This record gives sequence, C-alpha cells and structure tokens, in this order.
Amino acid sequence: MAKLADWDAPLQALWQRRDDLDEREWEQLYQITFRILRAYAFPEHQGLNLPLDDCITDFFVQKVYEPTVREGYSVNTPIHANALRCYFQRFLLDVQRAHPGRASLDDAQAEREMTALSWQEFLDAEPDTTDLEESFVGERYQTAAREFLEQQESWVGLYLRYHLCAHYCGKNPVPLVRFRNHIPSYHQKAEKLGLKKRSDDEPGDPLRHTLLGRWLRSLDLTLTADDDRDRIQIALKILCQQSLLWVKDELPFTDAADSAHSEKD
Amino acid sequence: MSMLWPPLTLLENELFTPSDGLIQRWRAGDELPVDLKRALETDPEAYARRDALDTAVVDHAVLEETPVPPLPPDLRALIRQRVAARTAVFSPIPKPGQIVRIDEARGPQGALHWDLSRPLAVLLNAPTETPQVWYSWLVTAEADYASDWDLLLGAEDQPCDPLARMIQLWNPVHVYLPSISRVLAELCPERLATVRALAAAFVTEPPSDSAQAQPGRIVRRTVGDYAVRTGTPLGGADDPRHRYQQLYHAYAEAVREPAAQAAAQTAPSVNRGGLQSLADTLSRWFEPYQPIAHAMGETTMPETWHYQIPDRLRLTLTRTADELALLRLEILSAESLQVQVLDADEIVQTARLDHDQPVVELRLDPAEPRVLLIGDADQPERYRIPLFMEEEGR
Repeated sequence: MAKLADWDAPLQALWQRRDDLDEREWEQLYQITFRILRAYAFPEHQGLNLPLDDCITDFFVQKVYEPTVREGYSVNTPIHANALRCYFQRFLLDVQRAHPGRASLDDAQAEREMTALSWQEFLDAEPDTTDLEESFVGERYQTAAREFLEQQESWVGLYLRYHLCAHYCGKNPVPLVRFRNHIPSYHQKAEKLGLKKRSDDEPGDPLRHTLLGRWLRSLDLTLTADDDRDRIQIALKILCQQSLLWVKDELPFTDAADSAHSEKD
Repeated sequence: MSMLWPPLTLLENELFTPSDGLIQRWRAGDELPVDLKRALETDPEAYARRDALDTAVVDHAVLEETPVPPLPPDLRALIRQRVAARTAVFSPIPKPGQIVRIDEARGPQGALHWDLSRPLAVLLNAPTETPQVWYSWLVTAEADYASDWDLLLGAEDQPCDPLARMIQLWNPVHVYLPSISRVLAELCPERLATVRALAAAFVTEPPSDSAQAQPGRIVRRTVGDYAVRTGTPLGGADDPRHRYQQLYHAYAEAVREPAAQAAAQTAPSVNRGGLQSLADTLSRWFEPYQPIAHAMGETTMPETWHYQIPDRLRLTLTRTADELALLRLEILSAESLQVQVLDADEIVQTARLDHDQPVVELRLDPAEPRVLLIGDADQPERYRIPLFMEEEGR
C-alpha cells in the first residue's frame, strides 16, 4: 500500500522536466496524476455530469500538459500530491462555473433523455476522395485504428465489432442492452465510447469526451470542420474494418438477430 | 451553439488570477516583487488558496490501487506531436515562419516578474528596425474559438507543438527575441506566404458578415491563391469569441511590454522639430481645432495638437514619456475605419476603429519613415499620409 506522499518525488521529477519528457515519461506523469487525484474525494465534481476520469484528462491537458515551461524558470514551481489536488479542485470549480444551473439528472430522467448518436450516417456515406491522397490517408488511419484497438480495454472492441460495425460482416448489430451481463457498467461504457449520448442537460459537443470523438481528434479530425467529413467517413470505415479483423473475442450470446429491432436502451 | 472548450471562465481565471505557481512561491516564502506580494496579501481568494495548500496536507493518506485507464487517444496524439516537435531540428537563428514560445516576460533589463500562468507563442514575421524586436502574431491552442481571422494550423505544418494551433491575425504583436524560450514549429515559406496573404486580407477586406457566425465551426476558404482553414466571422454580443479575443489581447501585453521597453531603449528622441514637422504634415490633411476645454481656459498639455474630420474622426498628437510621437485616433461616426501603418509596402500595424473599439493609439518613431493609411470599406486608402519622411537634401 503506497502513501500519497510516496508519489511526491516521482511527480516532482517528471513535473519539473515537462519540457523535455519523452512519450513514455508523459504517460507516467499522466498515470501518477490520475492515481493521486483518484485517491481523493471531490465534492466539487458533484453536478458536473461528466465522469471524473474525463475531468482528470481535461485537467491534465489544460493544467499540466499545456502550461509547460522550460526547467529552471521561476514560473516552473515545485509540485506535490496535495498541491495537485488543490489545482484540480480549482479546475473543477472553474468548469462548474462555466455550466451554471447544470444539475445531476436522476437515472430515469437520464435514461429518457438519451438518444443514440448516429455514426451510421458516416458509415453509410460514400466519401468524396477527390482531393485526398487516399492511399496515404488510408494507411495512416489503418495504423491508428489498429493501435487504438490494441490500447483500449477489450470492451471497446466488442462494442465496435458486434454493435457499431456488425453490418460490415452482414450481421445485425447486437443491441447494447444485450451486453448488460457481459460488460460491467455496460451503459456508462457505451456512453464513454460514444454510442450513446451522455446524460447532459447542457448544449455542447456530445463527442468531445467520447473515445470515438477522442480517436477522431487524435487524427486531427473534427466534426465541426466542413472539410473533415470525408476523412471522418474514411476513418470510421477503416476502424470498423479493423475491428472485424482484429477483435477475436466472442460474445457468450449469439441471439442478436431476434432483438436487433428492439434497440430501446 | 456548441459549448466551446476550454470554457471562458476557466481560461479567464487561468490568465488573470494569481497562478498556482505564484501561490506556491508565496507560500514557500520565495522572494517576490513588492507590488506582487502586496497584491497577494490583499486578495482574499489568494489567501484561501494558500490556506488550502497549508492545511490539507494528507501525506498519511493511503493511496488505493485505482486502475488507470489507457491513455486517451487524443492525449497520446498531443504527446507525440510535442515529442516530434522537440526532436525536430529548427534553425537556431530566429527566422520568419518560426513559431516560438515565451515562458516569461523578459525585457532588456531582465525578467519583468509578471505572473504568467501559461506560456505564450508567436509566429515571427519579420524584424523591425529595433534590434532584437520582430513583428509577429500571437499563436494559441484554443482552436474552438477560431474566428475568420484565425488561421488554423494543420498536418502540413508538422512537426508543430500542439500549443500552436491557430494564428491570431487580428492580434499582431512586437516580440523581443530574448523572451523566447523554445521553437515550437517552423512554417514553410508557402505557408508563411499564406499567413501574410490572410493578414493582408484582414486589413483590406470589408468587415465580415456577422450573420455567418457559427462559433466552433471550421471552414475552408481561399485567399488569393491559397487555401486556408479558419473559423467563421464573429457574431453578435453573445458570441463567446468576443470575450476570448479580449482576454488574449490583454494577455499578449506580456509580449508587447518587453518589446516596447526594448524599442524605448533604442529609440532616438523626437526632437521638437520632428514633432512639429509631423504636426505640420497632419494639418495639411486634417482640420486643426481647439478642444472645448482649451477654449474654456483649462490648462493644456504642452506640445499637443488636435485635428479632426468633422463628425467622423478626431486625432490628437503628443509626445510620449519615452520620447516617441503618440497619435491618438478616435472615431466619431457609426461607420468603421481601417488604420494601417506601412513600412514601404509592408504593414507594420493595423487597427479597426468601430463601435467596439473607438480609439486607437499609434506610437511613431521618427527614425522610421512610415506611411499612415486611413480608409473605409469603399476606399481603403482614403488618406495616404507619409510620416517622418526624410527631407530632401538632408
């Protein structure tokens, strides 16, 4: 069992060197930040309707990654676990102030307000590839899709293969509710992936915090960019193809067809 | 309307309240400038934040073994872009097209001890006549807030640190090179030409149609022969991008101030003859007038000249404390005006006078021959006035 203070030294070592970290060290800093913040309770998080993990990631980008300065500058101050907690608390309060009136929805209300996001229109559309270097783009997206599937937890591949992308191999999509006994917290995970709209009562980009949204953004693609739509269509199709190729896990149930039309969750 | 990220409250607090680092240094008893320390000591919120650091230390708390989820793919992409930019070989000598980071405000006399919570970035355009000072534009990370005069960087600009996502062409700044800490990217000549073309369009095209405003939306458009990605025009008063621009215009003072100090240090004095000569030049173009306050016998500032285009524009010429000429322009009508200062054919300063920004002040150096352009939508060069031109035979 570790004490929080045990993280101070490695946190400090990485924090001070942010300007020169390599990819592995950045990942370590993210993990340490995550573990420290997860060890505290944050009443300030109440009512945000955004999973704490996503808040931590936003905090990490906004307050750890972006304000990187050269080591030794006076503004590059020491850090310790409790300071990190205070910074995060303040971050949550600022985000909270940006969403006045937002309150938690109870489960029933949240359930009623959920609507499925339509990735299907992207998957069904035929992208215009006139202006694209198609082979280059395709190769890049294929590599990224495979890496995404490898790095994510196994439920991501299951949802893609058996739900979002099932029609690619001539199958009906398995309704999300059928995953209930197979994927713990199946509903939250469907939201996290981006298959269900989050239970927000505020307008906003419903995809910003979803894994599919994040994956598209990692490819420098954004749904609000007019000229990204063709690339998004290509990327999603490639992700589907890769999920069919690489996801080998079988579901314990195979009676998808009988409930394909009863998608109600 | 989509919620733009990061929220403005978050950004505003980050930019304009005491930084986390400063609170830490205050708490640790680090030596701080007197005025900064006094400001902290009179700020109840700063005290609360310091107390939180003091009282909530729980080093005995047991860290539970919380599973850490995989690194989100967008964060991994950001990290890779940064590492690629770190390992890229950029010119060690500042050159046009470089995007550089500024970690602290540093003038000719050393650090200014400003509390910068976030580093700033600028795109270098060209050197000014002041040694070590360059024309540049501010560069920021918040692409959600892009307007039609923010150029978005893309795959063609890699390797590029993600701190640099959009170039604020509406926010030109002078930068003092010793402020620079690191090169974030180096735009190729064609991209720099694209940036310059869009900057020229910004000062010559009529105001954008606010009905086209779609905050958060990214569009592709062409400027001359170049294709660019930008946001859409600013909308009405409820468009959050207005506030965003105000915030960054103010925060960019940390870049402007060191450059202004460097310029002041090297600028020759405006001798009386130089200022009088400029006053004579302006009187040939505009109608001199006596303000009401002067007519009522109030004390006047010495060496102050007043001009006007009746009901349209008011100009006031004075000398600055650092011996430059200061020309203040104030719009009086509803129709906007565009003001530009040119060095030969190169634009070195631009401003738009309108309802939202009715006043602009131009600091003019007599050692730098300049041309002042004042125009409107119908006639961008309605007035073309040579300033501080060398006299014949001198």
